[in-house]
This record gives sequence, C-alpha cells and structure tokens, in this order.
Amino acid sequence: MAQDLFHLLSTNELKKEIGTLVAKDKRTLPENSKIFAAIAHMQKFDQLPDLVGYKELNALIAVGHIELNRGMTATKGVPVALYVRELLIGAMYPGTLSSIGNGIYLATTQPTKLILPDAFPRLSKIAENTLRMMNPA
Amino acid sequence: MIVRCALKRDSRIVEYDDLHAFCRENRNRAANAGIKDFGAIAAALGFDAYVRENIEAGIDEKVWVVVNRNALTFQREVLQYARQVLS
Repeated sequence: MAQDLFHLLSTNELKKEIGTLVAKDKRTLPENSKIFAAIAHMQKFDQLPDLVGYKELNALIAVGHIELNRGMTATKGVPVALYVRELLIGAMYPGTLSSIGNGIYLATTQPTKLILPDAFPRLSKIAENTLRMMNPA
Repeated sequence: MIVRCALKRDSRIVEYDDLHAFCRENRNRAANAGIKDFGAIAAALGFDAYVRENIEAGIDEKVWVVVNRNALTFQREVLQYARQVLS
C-alpha cells in the first residue's frame, strides 16, 4: 500500500532518498522524469500490471473498474509493438514529454457519436453514410 | 494501436484541480525535496492516478494520468500481438 511520503519522511530524508535513486538511474532522461521514476520505485508503482483476457477485462469493467485506452504509435525506427511490450512487461519508462505531469496517459472510452460531430465533421458524415449502407432495412 | 486496460476500482484517484491546490499550498515542501512535477507529487502523496476534465474545448473528454502501473489491468491479447510482430 502506497503511503504519503511527505508525511512518512522529513523533507531532507525524502530529498536524500530521491537523490540516491536518481544518481543510480543511468538512463538518458530529464531530471524530472528521473525524480518521478525514483518516487514510483519508492512506492512500488513501477511493478508489472496484471494481464487478463478480453472477457475477463469486460467482467472487471462490469464490476466497477474504469475502462481506459492508450493510443500508441510507432516513432522513427521504433515499432509500436516494442512500446506495447515495454508498457506491459518492461521496465516502467517515465517518459520525457508531459503536458500535465509524468505518468501513463490514458483516455476514457466514449461512444463515437459524441466525438465525431464536433471534432471530425467530415468523418461524421462518412460514418452516417456507412451506417446507412450497413442497415439491412 | 489502441491498448485497452482498466484502472482498478479501489484505486486512489485525485482530481487535477485538487492536486494543483495541494501544490500551491505545499510548494515549498515539495520544491525543497526536489519535486516539481505533478505526476511525481501525486505518486509521492500515494495516489494511483489523477484525472483532468475539459482538457480540450468542445470535447467532453477526461485525461487520466496513471502513476501506478500496478493499478492497471491490461488486455493480454495485445501483448501476444506485440510478441508476434517482434519475433
């Protein structure tokens, strides 16, 4: 169980602990990312996630777990499959770009009709036409 | 590629605005410990994730930032696909 490190440790103790872990981290990362990685390690937040099948995940969501999605794409010379593998079973990578802080960015699932009309009007029209063609009536 | 997962229902979640307020009130304490990033502060406080609403105008979308990977349950099939591609 994670604890509030601000209350568990004095400011100096916390700073020392983080500094020790940051010094050991030899990855090429910004200082803030290394600090995040250090705290994640202290809290045991860098451990591997659970993996379940499609039906089991549906069952978890049905009992109140929050369904989330992560969009991933390849970058120059790095296939998306490598990023996926690292996210699920690799070392926790704190990232280098963060608009509202370090962490794993995820999005909620929404019905397509809520997103398309405002954000993608042309796609919305295509979707309407596609649905019409698929309707057997 | 979309990777599907679920955040455990007993996760400790904080609203971004509340996290922001904590940072304002405790900025000296966090800064003295060398912590400036919101994700790092959320993790240090023991939260598993934080969530921000209305991040983009016109879209009722929430952005979730999970700082505890162990609080997530991923769909296994995507890993099988990744392994096939990489082998």
